[in-house]
Amino acid sequence: MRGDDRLTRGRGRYTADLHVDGCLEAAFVRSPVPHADLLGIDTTAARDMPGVAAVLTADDLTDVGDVPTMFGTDDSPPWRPLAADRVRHEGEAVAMVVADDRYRAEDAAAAVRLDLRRRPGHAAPGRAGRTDRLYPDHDDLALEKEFGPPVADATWTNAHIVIDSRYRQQLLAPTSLEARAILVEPGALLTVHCSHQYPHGLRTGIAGAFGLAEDDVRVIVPDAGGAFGSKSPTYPEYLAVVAAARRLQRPVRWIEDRTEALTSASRGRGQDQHVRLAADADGRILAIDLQVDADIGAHPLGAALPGQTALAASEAYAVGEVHATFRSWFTTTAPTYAYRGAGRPEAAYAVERAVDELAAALHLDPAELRRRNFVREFPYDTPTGRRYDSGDYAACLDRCLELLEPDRWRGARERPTGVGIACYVERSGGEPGILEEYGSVTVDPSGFTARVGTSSTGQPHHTVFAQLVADRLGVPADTVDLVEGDTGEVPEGHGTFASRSTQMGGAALAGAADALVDEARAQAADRWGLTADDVAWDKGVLRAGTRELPVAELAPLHAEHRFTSPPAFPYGSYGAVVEIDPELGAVHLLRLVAVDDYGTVLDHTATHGQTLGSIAQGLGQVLIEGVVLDDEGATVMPDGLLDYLLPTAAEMPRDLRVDETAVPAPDNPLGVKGAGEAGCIGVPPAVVNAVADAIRPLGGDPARLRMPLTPQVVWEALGGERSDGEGRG
Amino acid sequence: MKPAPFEYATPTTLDEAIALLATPGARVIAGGQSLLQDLRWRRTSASVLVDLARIDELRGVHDDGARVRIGARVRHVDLERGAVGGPLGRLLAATAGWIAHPPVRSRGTMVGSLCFAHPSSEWCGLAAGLDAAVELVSVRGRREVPVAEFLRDSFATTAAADELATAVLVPTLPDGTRVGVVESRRTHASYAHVAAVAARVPDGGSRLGLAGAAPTGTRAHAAEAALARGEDPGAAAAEHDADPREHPHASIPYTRHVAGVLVRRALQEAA
Ligand SMILES: Cc1cc2nc3c(=O)[nH]c(=O)nc-3n(C[C@H](O)[C@H](O)[C@H](O)COP(=O)(O)OP(=O)(O)OC[C@H]3O[C@@H](n4cnc5c(N)ncnc54)[C@H](O)[C@@H]3O)c2cc1C
Repeated sequence: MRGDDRLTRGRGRYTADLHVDGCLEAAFVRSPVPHADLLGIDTTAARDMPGVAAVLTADDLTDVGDVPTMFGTDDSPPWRPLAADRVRHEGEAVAMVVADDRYRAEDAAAAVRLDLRRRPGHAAPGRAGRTDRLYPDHDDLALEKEFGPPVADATWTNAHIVIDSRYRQQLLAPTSLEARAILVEPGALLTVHCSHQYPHGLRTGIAGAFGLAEDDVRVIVPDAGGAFGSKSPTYPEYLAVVAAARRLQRPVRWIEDRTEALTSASRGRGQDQHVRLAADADGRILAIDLQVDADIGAHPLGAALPGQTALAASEAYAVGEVHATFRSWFTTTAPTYAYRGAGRPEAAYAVERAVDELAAALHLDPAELRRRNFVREFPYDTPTGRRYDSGDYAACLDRCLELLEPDRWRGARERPTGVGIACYVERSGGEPGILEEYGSVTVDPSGFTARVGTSSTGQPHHTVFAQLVADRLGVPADTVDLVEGDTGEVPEGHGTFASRSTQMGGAALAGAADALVDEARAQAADRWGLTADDVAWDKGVLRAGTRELPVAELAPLHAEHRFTSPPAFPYGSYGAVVEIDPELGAVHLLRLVAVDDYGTVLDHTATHGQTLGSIAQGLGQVLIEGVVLDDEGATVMPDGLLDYLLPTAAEMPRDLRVDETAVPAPDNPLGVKGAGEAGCIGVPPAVVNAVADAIRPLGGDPARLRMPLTPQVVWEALGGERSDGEGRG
Repeated sequence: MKPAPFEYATPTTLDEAIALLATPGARVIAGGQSLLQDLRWRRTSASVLVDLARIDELRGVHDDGARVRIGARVRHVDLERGAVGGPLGRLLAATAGWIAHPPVRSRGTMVGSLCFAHPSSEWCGLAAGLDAAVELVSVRGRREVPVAEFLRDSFATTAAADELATAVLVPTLPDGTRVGVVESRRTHASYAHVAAVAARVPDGGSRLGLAGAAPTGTRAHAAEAALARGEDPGAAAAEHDADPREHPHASIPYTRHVAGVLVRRALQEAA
């Protein structure tokens, strides 16, 4: 694809590639421990080192506002850009060195001395074992919420069967190829180049913290090497870099490296889950209760995100009673925040694992049990407050089973083999407040310029959106230029996350293109003394009878559209076939099937790429990845990516079958639903269900399966010797 | 992260290199696949990095009939592509193929791996299992150290700071020797958990090397002896040869168990 080709050939231009004369480079001094009083910082030696322009600490930033939180609490404790008198997670920034290059900045950072007095740390959510609060004026329970009415006692007592399961969503490191990156040029107009998903949000965050008008700040997103949800906040480091640039009146850049990213950047998932299902003898689910205790880290950046899990507790099922609660706990760890799927993978895992246990307990085919419970009429209001827009969940599952061929794998095989499925319902587009997007189309003599408030972090927006506008206008795609990711060029926008770009931004552009056609017809009609109805738009040319006028002659011509809609609810069915090496516990994927419904698909190459990428990340969560912490929250990953393992092309299953069904989204003019987060939602429960299926006949205990399914985990679930030496994940 | 400042030298002869290594704080850089990370993490520093890339004396392999001499510049990929012939060459090629992924194999060296002494290094397990030796040269002279003595602990060898490892000397395997190498590893982008290397010598018993089962690569003496007595070599390896350390994703009992399983499988592969 046009956009991809440039990036895959290494011709992208990232924040680190920008050349700005006189630019200084920043390095942070970070807490080496999870929790401590910060008694003093000695920067004297560092200040005198070669090339050092400044060493800043909290005392230098007292005039900078607090770090804004995206999904925080109503009374969040203040979060300072550099820690003032306490550090609350390993890697928390306490000082910043600005020097003429990054090497010298790090030399000086190594010379900064911290006087720390350790306090006990707490990595686990919940009250147990806590002896020390993180904040003197705030309880460690940062936020607690409830969705849906509680399940009646009688439902539990009268049910034929109750499944009661506990699961853990390990912490994951989002690990985009490019970690965080920002370059700030001071001046009357503060110009911020940042690898970011939400440039207008960053503009608001920076303007707010520095008491500036939004118009005094311009945020430009150059090429961005991935984000996966982690690059939408206004991070403390960003405010520190802005402060340094303003103070020194010099451009300052900070490029996060992998070590910083793994210890101090936001993480995803992080939930202890308790699920209960009540069902009748036929496998009809009567009630679901989901309780989540989330470890949200030391700052409430994503305190409210577990609400996404609670809201999704019905998944694909029409269940009379659904009740979900979450409690977000401060922990002495880096903030937990959005990571691809942001709350929905967690919900799908809890429900789909429990549904599978229900099927096993009732000796029912897991597909048949799901069919008996699917939502079949739309719109459907869930007890927790979602309105599912559309779907045919059974058709999607049927297609998945066709590709999976569950029966093919049964019977005598050399090694234990298991088949698992999982169905999910996802929410795309966002939540109230961001369920709107801006698009515009402008005609100038050289062609069309489309502007949109989304912001690519590697997705082929330039290809897909230019084509969309071109198709709408009936003109060649290469006459349409797309502009996004620049608050100086696009007046408003909500960025790229929640699988919203094509659904919201695409619809906004379509509306803008339609408005442009109307405007062009009206203007041509004026010129010709006709009414707009007499004028036809024909591939960029206005016609009425024998008269014709290329639209370029009306330039400059501009039309805008602000699109709003409820969220959409894409869904999918995933299937996995696994083979277990029973001696070692290793899991081999023999086949993986993904059937997703993204509504109407505009560009199959683009959605296919999204599906593959999200599948890889789903495989990462289920088999490979996990931040390892000790009980106090210190990372136990001394060798970076040699310890925090990631899936690569070599770990993708050879037999990967991807297909789509397409029920158009009723609330979207293009019929589009989000497509960005499917695989990481569907893959983990499908694979664990398959492993559970493989180990049950061997007397294995599926309750002991936890992610990542390392060989040791599976070996222990099969009855291998018990060990207690594991760290917390 | 960025390394602290260092000088960089590219000598063209061994004499020049060892003279440079006599400078306090000097360090050898071979493939750089492990050293650069340690420098960036500031776990280690160097006054001067002495690059081996231009020293022709350190190239290539030489077979004198009893031992194969593998020079310090021989990379994993060279061995993978068959730089050494015979059964030993097959074992080296099969082992090299397990190491990381192609970019690492195209730079990393066998001798560098021995010097780095990662507990899971395949080369350390193989070299220990086959009783190889490392040749060390410094301004003070030349010596040969058996690998079992050379590998002192995880990430620690008995080489002095000014010594250059010029080659590893691996005893050849007689014709008809069957070889096998198996691993448990979670991805190709990092180290194995445990690797087992086996060579069944016709009428000469078996040689077994283990990596990842103990602080250093080891020869599985107990398993070899058990095999000779007709007992289960796996059980012996798990109980006596393995001496694992706790790992976040692999407990001590699990690693012992894996060592036993892999010893059995390596022998099967070599059957
Ligand atoms: C992503 C990744 C995955 C990896 N996976 C594996 C794996 O699966 N298995 C495996 O075995 N290895 C693995 N490695 C390590 C790789 O094999 C390294 O190449 C090897 O450990 C060191 O070899 P080198 O030539 O690169 O040495 P360098 O990195 O250059 O040096 C390593 C150390 O040895 C010293 N040294 C090197 N050569 C000499 C010499 N001739 N004389 C004296 N001192 C010397 C250096 O001073 C340094 O201290 C991996 C590395 C990476 C980056």
